[in-house]
Order: sequence, then structure tokens, then C-alpha cells
Amino acid sequence: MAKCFALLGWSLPVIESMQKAKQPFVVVSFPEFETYAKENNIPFVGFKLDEFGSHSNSRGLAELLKPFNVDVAVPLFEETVEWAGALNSIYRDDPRVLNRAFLFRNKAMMKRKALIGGLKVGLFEEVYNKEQVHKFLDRLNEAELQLDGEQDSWFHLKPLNAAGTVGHRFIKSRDDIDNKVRTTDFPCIVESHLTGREFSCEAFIHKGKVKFLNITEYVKLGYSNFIPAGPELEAKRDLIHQEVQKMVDIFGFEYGMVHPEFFINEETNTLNFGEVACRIPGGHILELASEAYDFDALLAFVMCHDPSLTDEELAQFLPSKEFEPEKHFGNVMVFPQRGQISRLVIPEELQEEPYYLDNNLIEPLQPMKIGNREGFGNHFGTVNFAGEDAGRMRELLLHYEDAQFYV
Amino acid sequence: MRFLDALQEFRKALPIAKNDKRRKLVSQVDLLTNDEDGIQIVYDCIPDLVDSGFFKGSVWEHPKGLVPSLVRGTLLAGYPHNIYELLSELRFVAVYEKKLVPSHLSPAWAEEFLKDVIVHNFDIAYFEIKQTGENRYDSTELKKVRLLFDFIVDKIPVQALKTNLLKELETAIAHRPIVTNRLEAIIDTIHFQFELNKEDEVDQRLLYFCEVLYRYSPEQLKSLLPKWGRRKVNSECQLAGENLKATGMVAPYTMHLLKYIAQHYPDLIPACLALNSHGMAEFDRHKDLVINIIEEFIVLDNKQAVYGLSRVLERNLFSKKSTLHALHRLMSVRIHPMVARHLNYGQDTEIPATPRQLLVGGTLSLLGQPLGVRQGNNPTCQSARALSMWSRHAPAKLINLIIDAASSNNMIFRYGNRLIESNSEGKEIGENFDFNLDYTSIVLVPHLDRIYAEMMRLASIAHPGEDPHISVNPAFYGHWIQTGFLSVYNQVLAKIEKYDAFVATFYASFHPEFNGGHSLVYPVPLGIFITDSSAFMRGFHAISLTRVRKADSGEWRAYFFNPNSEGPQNWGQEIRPSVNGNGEQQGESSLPFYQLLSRVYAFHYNRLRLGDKVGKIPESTIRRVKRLALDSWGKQYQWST
Repeated sequence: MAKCFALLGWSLPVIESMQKAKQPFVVVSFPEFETYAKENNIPFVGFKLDEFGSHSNSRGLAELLKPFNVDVAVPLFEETVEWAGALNSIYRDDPRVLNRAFLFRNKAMMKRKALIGGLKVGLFEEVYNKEQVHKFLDRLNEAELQLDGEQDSWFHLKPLNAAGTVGHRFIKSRDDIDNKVRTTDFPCIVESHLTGREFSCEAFIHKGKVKFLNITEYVKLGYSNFIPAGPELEAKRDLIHQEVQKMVDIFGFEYGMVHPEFFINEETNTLNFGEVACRIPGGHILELASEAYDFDALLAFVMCHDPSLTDEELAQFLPSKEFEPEKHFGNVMVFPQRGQISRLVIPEELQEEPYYLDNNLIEPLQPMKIGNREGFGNHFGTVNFAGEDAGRMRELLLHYEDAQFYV
Repeated sequence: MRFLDALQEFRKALPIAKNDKRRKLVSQVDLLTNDEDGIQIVYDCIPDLVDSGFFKGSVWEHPKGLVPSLVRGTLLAGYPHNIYELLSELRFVAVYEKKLVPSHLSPAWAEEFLKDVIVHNFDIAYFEIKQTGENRYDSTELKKVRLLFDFIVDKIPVQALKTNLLKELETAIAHRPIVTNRLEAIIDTIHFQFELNKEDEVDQRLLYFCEVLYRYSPEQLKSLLPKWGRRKVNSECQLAGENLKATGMVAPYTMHLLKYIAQHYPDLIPACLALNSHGMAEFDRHKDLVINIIEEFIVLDNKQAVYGLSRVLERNLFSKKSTLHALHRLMSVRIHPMVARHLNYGQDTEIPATPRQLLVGGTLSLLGQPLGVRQGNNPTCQSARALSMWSRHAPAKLINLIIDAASSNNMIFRYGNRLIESNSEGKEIGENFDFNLDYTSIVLVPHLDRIYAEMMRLASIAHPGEDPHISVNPAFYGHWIQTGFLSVYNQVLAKIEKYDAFVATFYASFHPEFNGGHSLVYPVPLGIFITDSSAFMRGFHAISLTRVRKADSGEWRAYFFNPNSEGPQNWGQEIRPSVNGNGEQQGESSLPFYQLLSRVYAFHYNRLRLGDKVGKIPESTIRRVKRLALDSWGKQYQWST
């Protein structure tokens, strides 16, 4: 058993889970949280976890953590992945742990590794300016045997190291390159559009093996998802399991949780690899997984990072192999429509909906203006649902994604 | 059950996770409280909920600071405020029923509070909420209000309310509001739902009010009138007139009686209106106009205009040429369709009435009852104060403003070298406005409020660091406002300063013992701090000082017009404005002079009249006021030494 976990990043739900389970931990986050932590008796080390680079002093951080006897570091947010990698390299005395962390933080490197290992990826390149994007499209069109007058091939542009959908641009034509792409987007990766239905998994890994696999069905990326996935995706569980294990093997990932996104072609039974992260996924996915599989997914997330656990010890934190979820648990993240809002309104039909569970929507304290959203950021809370029929769940999530909760 | 789970999760949550869990819990309560069973379930868990610290950190944490008359506003303020308010009331029911035994609240206190909640929110306690204008309430929210009050009313027997209701009626009637819907709703309920005993003293008074309104139903009267001779009609007119004078309430039957005599016995009109000698002379002089108004302009939905008319006659306003001309013009004004729609929102019945009828009747009410205008559920105390002042001192100006607003749905004021139009921004006039008001306010206040806001904006640019009211008040209200201005707050330093001089100047300007024995010429606009019953500061408010005189008790009292007053209030530190019994005129509130002054933060005065009077205010007089200020709103400010 770990002597003490260092939780990198400030996450109340994780702190709560650790306290409930009486697991030893210390939170590492920005010094601004220090008073707050003290007032609430949360073990805390204030440290500026800014972007990791050659200037970053992970040994210095390790020194600060010594009094707490930390022997496992857990990254909670995208930006802390390298920090955790660096600390765990020290704790496990294995420099490659940090290198692996870089894999998760540099999408070009990630794709190259996946390609080498034999995962199916799109045509991709690292680009540094618009000119290179145009050239990329030329080559892509050429490879797709495009004739004059035909539509351009579709591709995606993603920052090298941002979380989730932040900075993601879907390019469908040459004009899009000029209209949607900004100079500040570079350097980034461009990749041809992968076909198939997008979904994510949360695979809890210990000693390099997938110990529990959750499949999350996306209804609309960045807005709504539910767990367990509908019968169509769950039917492919074995295929998906194999593919995730393959990915874990290729990346040499040993301890923690991976959150890959795939595109599945249900006819050909093939999976395209989108990308993968190893921190807590957005969209409150782990909270939904906890409800659906009746375990504490956040706690399990942390515990998987502990190499010293035996299989039996770990098994206590995960759902049993035989567990069959009875219901689908889904949520919609609510983003107010653009413009002026002053009031929170719970739609009447929602209250009468048997699948509706609860919400934690925030009321505007005063009339405010809503601008554009970025990634999973700035949502005003979630509305939760549960029910037996996946079809109905999809309908509801689609419907409430457009409902007006703020006027 | 998810509600119970959510409650347990909230209870167990770390302090820092409380808010998120509280939100989830609130959403569960929201779900449950849509039917009677759900309310009951939530009610059964109230002790547990209170114990979990649910109210901690919210404004509901300290029950003794809660104000029964504000319950309505919060219940209708939307999610999640309505849920907190609902739970807070259920908490008091639990205390009343001894299901919850907090150390600091007694069942008797909870009972009084709940009774006050019922009495002050009577219209929604017993009746469906009227949907006015675009500002429609969500139907699930209304359902909750209905269920909550049914629940409370079920626990508190109506009979137990009688004394509270009587007190409420008597003070409200002494206060003479223009809008009497709430009073009528109370009397209506008493009349149809209460068992009253003629021997009982309280019941006798209640029966009297029922008699005022329900002596005859209009149908009864219509069938009786043709059978009555002049003698009987005369005696009924006398009685109706007495009741009118005593209560200011116009019964539907009284209106019909008046219309009948206007046609058959016009000479009985003064009796029916209970006119004094001034009024009778005015009636003789303008008989045709009065008959025309009664026949053409007074309808069921503005029947209170009958009372307004009687007071207008007694003020001899028809004999003022400017007022008379303006009124004639108003009687033929073409009303803008949008204004017409707003006027209809103010109607209580479905009985057809033309917007012009409603407006002319409303104008008579305002002219007859300058102190009867209220701001309703709108944050528009300045505008209500303006209407009151113009009604008293510039009736023709007031009517002209009404004509402008009614015909063009616009209004133009001058501020400095700029013209400000109320309807220039393309934003719809009357958005988010509660039309539960008198008809004149319905037409004028949305415009006035916008003009006022624009003036304040321009003022804060024109003279930053200085209180904008210094220039806005004279521009907005008119030349009745004195040129001197004092505020306790220094905006640049963000501190209270020169408070002693402030108090002394107020005394020297307005207190007859120190100002040379003079009365006020015009009402003086005052900015005051609103404090709650624990003397905690809640915000700012605008009132007008109308008179200062020695009451019969020998105490110097300040009399003032308060646009949000529906009766006695409690401002903490034993400061309780009264509305009757201390020499108030109908519509005025009053306080001992020094108590009112302890809440004032800004006023206008005339420097030329001060002379050396300021220096003569005794130190102890100033200290007494300052003590009250320091211990109430003063706690929330820094004071410069």
C-alpha cells in the first residue's frame, strides 16, 4: 500500500473520495489554495505547477513532498501529467516513466508512437504555419484521388498539448483554413478525418493490464454522454478491450487510468485511434461511471497509480467482474446560450421526466453576458439522468442539450 | 429516495464541497415539491435538513431577520431562491408544530411569523396569482406557491388569523393606498370563509368591513333601485358616503349607486361622495364635468376613482385653470397601443373597459391621493416619489406627463444640455415590470425609471466622485428641490465623513425648534439606508420628508412618504415607523425625528436659510443620532475620523 499519494491539481471530488476512504494523501496545487486547504484540514503543498519544461524543478517538488512520505504521484489535470511522470520516475527509479508522460502531452509524438505500434490513425503531420496546412491539404486531396471541382478532404487541427476539445478545429474546405485557423494555433497537428462513431473509454490499468474497462457513449461531444454505452457499443466490448490493451502495450503504460477516444466502424469492426489522455476525463464521466457500476471511480483512479497494490487489494476498489449495470447514467452539461442571461429556469417537462435525477446548476448572481465556450470549460452545471433504455437516454440528452435553462 | 440520499450527502460533505451538494439537494426538493405528498415528505425531513446546516451562510440563516412581507417576492423570484424560501417557511411550520425545537425560536414566535406571512401575502395565500404582462411566472413555480400556502393555511386555523387581519386592515386603510386589491381580497375571504360572531369585538369590526364592501351585490342593487324612492336612495347615499370617507374603499355597489344618481338625482352626488364644504362648492361649479366623469370614465376596474374624485373635488383642483385644461385634454387623448396593453394588465376583471377610462380614473386617484401611490414589486422608489410630489405640487405638469407617455409611449426630460428620451434605445418599455400598480404608475413609471437611470449614468460621468443625486434630483423632480445637498458618504475615500455636521445641518434645516419655527414648504427627498429588524443594512431607498411637528405625545416627529410602505415596518433598534395613531395624515409614515435622521444618508437643503443655526445644535442631540447610526448601517462602513 502506498504511504502517501500526491494529488497534483485541486479537485474537490477527489479529495472527498480520498477522505472518505481514509487514504493518505497530500494535495499539490497553486499556493492560492493554501489558506483554503488549511481551513479545511486538507494536507497541502503550495507549488506553481505551471507548464512543464526543462526549467521545471521536479526534484525540488519531491523534496517538498518528502515530509509527507509521498511515494506515488497522481495527475488530476492535463497540465500536471508531466509533473506526475517526473515524480513517479523518481519514486520508481525509472526515467522512462517521464518519457511516457510526454507521450500523452504531445499529440504528434502520441500519433507517431501509435502508428509505429500498429494502431490505425489518420494521415497526420506537425505544422508550424498556414502554408504548411495548405500543403497538407494538397497532399491529402491528392492521396484521396480528388478530381477538379470535388469537395476538399476533411481534416482536423489540434493543439499539441491541450486537453479535450480545447482549440480543436474541424476543417472541411480550403476556405476554412483561412477563416478558422489562427496564427496562435501553431504549432499544432493536422490529421485527416477519421470516420466512424466517436466514443471514449476509461481503462483502469495496473501492472500494464486493463483491470476494468468502462465505455462511455458520446451523444454530443463536449455536451452529453452516458454510461454504460448503448447495446451497439457494448456488443463490441471484447474488440474494444483488445484494442485498448494493445494501445497500453504500445505506450508501455503501467499504472493509472487511460482515457482514449476511438472512432468505431461498426460494419468493418475496425477502430480508429483518436487520442488518449491519462488524467481525469471531462464531462463528469467518472461520476457517471461511479453511479453506473456502483464503485468510487475517482478513488479507483487514484489507487491504480499505486504499484505496490496486489491484485486482490486493487480488486476491492473496482467493480467485480460479474457486475451488470442496471441502468444507464447520463448527463448534459448546460451552457447558457450566447447573450444576456439573468435567471435560471428549470423546464417544466424536465420535472416530469422519469429519467431525470437532479442538477447542480448555478444561478446567475446578476444579469451577465455569455460569450463563446472553450473546451469543456465554463459550463453552468450538469443535469443528470438515469434509465434503462439507451435509446430514450440519447433522445433526452439531445433534447436537453438545446433546452434553455437560462433566460 | 434520491432526496434523502442528497440530504445525507449534503450532511456528510466537506465544508468546501457543501455548495455543490446543496445545489443537488435543492434540485431534489424542487422535484419533490410539485405535489402534496412531496411537500409532506420534505416537511417530515425538515428537522434533519435544518440540523444539516442547510441554511447556514444564506440569508435564511437568521430567522429573526426575515421579513414576512418579502416572502411573496422571494417565492416568485425563480429557482433556486423559491426553494430556499419554501423550505424556510416549512421550517417555521415545523417549529410551530414542535417538530423542530431550536433553542432560539419558540412555537409562539413561529406562529406569529406564519400568520404575518399569510396576512402580508394574503392575495397569494388564498387566491391564484394574477399573471400580468409579459412577466409571466413559470407555472410550476406558481404551483409550489399554491401548495406551500395550502399547507401553511391548513396548519394555522383561519380563525386564529382574525386579530392579525383586523390589525392589517385597519392600518392599511388608515394608510389609504390607491391600489386596494389586497385589502379587498382579505375582506372577501373574511366575508365568504370566516364564521363571525356579532358579540365579539374583533368580529364586529370585521363585519363592518364586510358591510362596507358587500352591503349589496351590484345585481341586488340594480334590482332594488327602481323600487326605491328618493328618501331611501338618499339614505343609502349618506351611508355609502360615510363608509367611503371612513375607509377610502369603494364598494362595487357604491359605484353603481353613484352612476344611478348621476342620472336620476345628481344633487345627491355630494352626499354619496361625502364632500366637505370645499368639495360641495367645487361640485356646484363643475357639476357637468363631474357627472360626465362618473358616467363616462368610472368603471368597475377603476372604481377607486370614486374616492379619488371626492378628494380631487375637495382639493378644488378643477378650479385651477391649468389642471382643468390638462384634464380635458387627457379625457380625449388617443392612447398608444402598447400603453393600452399595459393598462389592461392592471385590470382585475375581464369586464371590458377602454384604456382611456382606466387612465382617467387612475389619474383622479393619483390626484386625489398623492400619498397613496406605491412602487409595488418594482425597484422604482424614485419614480413613485416623483408622482407623489407632482400630484401635490404640480398637478398640471403631472397630467401633461401622463398625456405624453400615454399618447406617444415616450417621454422627454432635459438634463444639463442634453435631452433624454425614455423610449429611444429600442428596448421595449415595460420589460420585466410588474404591472400590479395603479394605472398612472403603469403608464409613467417605466418611462420615469429609465430617464432616472440615464440621468444617474450621465451624472456619474459628469461629476465622478460626487453623489449623482446632487444634480439628478433637481433635474428629475423639478425646481422644488433645494440647491444645497449633503451626503454622508465620500465616494472618493469610500468612507462616511462629516457626520456631525450632516446631522446638525439636518436639524437646522428642518426641525422647527432649531430652524426658527418653520414648516417645510415642499417635500424634501431623502436618501435612506434600509435596515432590517436586526438593524442590519439591506440597501438604499428613497423617501420624502413631508412634515415635522410635535405629536400629541409631546414628541417631535418626522412625517414622511414611503413608496414601499404597506403598513408599519421594523427598522431595528426599536425604530418602527407607524402609519396611524401618531398624527399621520393618510398615506404618511412617521418616526421620532432623531430616529428617522439616524437612517438618512443624503438630503437637499437651502443654504441661504441656515445662517448660524448649524452651530447651535446641542452636542448631545447629535450624539444620540450618531449612536444609532454607528450601531446599525454604520457597522458596514468605514468612518473617517
